[in-house]
Amino acid sequence: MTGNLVHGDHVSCSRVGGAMRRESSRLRQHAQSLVDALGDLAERPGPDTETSRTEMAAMAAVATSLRALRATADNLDEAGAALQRYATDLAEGHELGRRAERRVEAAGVLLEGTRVIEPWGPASAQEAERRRAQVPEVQSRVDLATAHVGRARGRLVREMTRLTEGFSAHSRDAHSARQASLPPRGC
Amino acid sequence: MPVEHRLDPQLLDALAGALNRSSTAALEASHELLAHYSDTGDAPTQRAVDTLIDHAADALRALTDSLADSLADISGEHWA
Repeated sequence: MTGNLVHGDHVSCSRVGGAMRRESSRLRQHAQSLVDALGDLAERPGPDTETSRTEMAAMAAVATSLRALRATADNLDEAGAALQRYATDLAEGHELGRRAERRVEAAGVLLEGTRVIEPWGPASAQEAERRRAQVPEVQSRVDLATAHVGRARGRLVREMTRLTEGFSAHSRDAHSARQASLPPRGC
Repeated sequence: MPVEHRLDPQLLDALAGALNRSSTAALEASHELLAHYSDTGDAPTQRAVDTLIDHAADALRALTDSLADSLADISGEHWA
């Protein structure tokens, strides 16, 4: 891992992304079981052809929860995929950062944050000129690494923000299903 | 008082089983999400990821409850 230039642990990001996608897959399987069970009930309503209002309300609540479950699973898969993409980008960023840091060292210059600077101290005019001449090229390598990771972070934040709004909506849907599942007695 | 269902009892049992398993899976998924930590290496990015995980876990807990309520309905707890 690069100590100074690129921070973060791509392995942990990949692990969380993988966990999200595994859970998404499990939830989708359970959602499909619910779809099948509801489908069977719709096809074979039972000996009495008229379904009560209470039963209809219960089935409507199940259907609402099912929609929220599927949507949550879909969003979870998207979030996991986004984190896995970020993990790949971060790993590439680490590699670019390592190369840039090796170049910094070879050029005899220093990194101050993400800025390449000439070191303080006595140096011959020839040595100072040699270092100064290398700064733009070394800086461009540093910029390449930081820009690569910066773009990846921007993409991830946008995706996380969008999907967070989705999860909030699914949470509200699930709550509305709870309220719908409690019809007044005597229906 | 026992609940009289007009829907096929065997199919209702199957639906109740599916609801029970789905509710449990949603709860386990929320726990699983909160059990891991990802280090994105950047404070704003970390906040976005952590916020997403909190909201995802909250949605899963809400689903756990709504599915459990439906299970109670199907089992007749609210119809009795």
